[in-house]
Amino acid sequence: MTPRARALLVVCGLAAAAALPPVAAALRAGGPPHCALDGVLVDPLHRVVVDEADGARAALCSISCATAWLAREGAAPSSIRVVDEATGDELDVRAAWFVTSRVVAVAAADDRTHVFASEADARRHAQAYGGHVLVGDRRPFADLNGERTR
Amino acid sequence: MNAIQASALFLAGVEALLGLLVLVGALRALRAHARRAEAERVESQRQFLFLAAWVLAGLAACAWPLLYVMLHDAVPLWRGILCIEGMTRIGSGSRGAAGLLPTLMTSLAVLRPLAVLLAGAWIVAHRVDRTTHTGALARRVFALLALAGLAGLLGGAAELAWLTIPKYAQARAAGCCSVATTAAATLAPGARAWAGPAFFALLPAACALALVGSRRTSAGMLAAGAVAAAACVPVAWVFASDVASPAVLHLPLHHCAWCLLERAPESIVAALLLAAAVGSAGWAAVAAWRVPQEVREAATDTARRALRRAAFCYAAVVLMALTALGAA
Repeated sequence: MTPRARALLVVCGLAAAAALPPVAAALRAGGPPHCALDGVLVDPLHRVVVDEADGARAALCSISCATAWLAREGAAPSSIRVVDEATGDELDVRAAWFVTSRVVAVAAADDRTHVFASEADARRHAQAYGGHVLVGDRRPFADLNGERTR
Repeated sequence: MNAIQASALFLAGVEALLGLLVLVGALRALRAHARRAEAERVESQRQFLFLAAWVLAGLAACAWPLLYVMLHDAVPLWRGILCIEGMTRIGSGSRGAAGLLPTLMTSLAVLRPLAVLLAGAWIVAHRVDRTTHTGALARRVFALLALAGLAGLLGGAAELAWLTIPKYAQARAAGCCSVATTAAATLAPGARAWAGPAFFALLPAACALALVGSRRTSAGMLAAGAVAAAACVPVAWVFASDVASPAVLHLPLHHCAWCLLERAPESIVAALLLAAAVGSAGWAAVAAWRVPQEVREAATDTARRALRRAAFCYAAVVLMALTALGAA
């Protein structure tokens, strides 16, 4: 191989290496949402959406990830929205009923907290799967300003 | 046990046996070479020993990625584990044999690449040695072979132990990407802020050293190149965890190099290029470090080619890191 051909090969190789990450990033863009904390694919039925005071929005895969996300320094949510497991509808966290039971909600996060819009659904799930409804200080996000205490 | 675990178990067993065989053979050859009295017998054993060593080198090259393919494959089977990092923590805090699992996995993280590097070093030294009629590098070749055999034996044995120790119902606390401490481990942005500057200072420096060394090969340059290459490994790992992973995956609080490798596959190319760069710089030093006069030309030529390859790989890794951060 001539020196010129070798130099050309080196330049092409370096150019290909430099081009690879942006091309791969472009191919990955627009995929399904991943948890802002641990990167796990977000299951729509267990999604938690945190709107921060500065306008930023984060989708999280589970209640435990959302709790960890909010535990970081300087976190100031303006609203938190969760999903009713019974209907798939989104609701404000203050209107939600939380149940912890034997049923794993999000396996990757080892999370067993279930969210319901109605008290009846929450109590039915708790009775059926050996769980209990989380009230008072045991409710997720209980220490947030404006959180209603049940 | 699934097909991948069974394959890993089989390969680890064969590797441990071959490692033992090569280790014993190389030590005996070293002893015989030192006595210089059994040259004919050594020569007849050499063929078999080298054949076994070639197979061991191939096994080491296969076993390294297979280990991580196996761990990646097992992630969904474990509740609360998100990626390979979590798998490496299985058994943390457990009593009995299961408590050894994290130590075994840490050993494997060192032994697997070490086995590949030593096998590569042996191949390079063996090739240089073959250019002579007197076997001027025979001692070095056998010593490297013994080390490669030892690494294969220990690596195979460690993987066999890891695979056979029961893991169900064991604690898997600690570490990024296992739930117990996900928050504690990941909510530390900027914990190692030196990683970026260190990466972009060290890798270009290692590249420059390799380039200069490929033109003026001296013992000092070879040693400096090998030391820089060894330093690149931990720095690149911290860079991948603390800088590249949060940026490329758009997860500012998630510091995990394994997640980067899993979810941004182009980073595997960068990791392979870095491994090639580090290996080439090390192999250049092994081939040309203080060699006898009769092999100097062949050794220098081999070292120069290896260093040019290392320089190219370093440059490619740096470019990939720059464009990856730019695209993020």
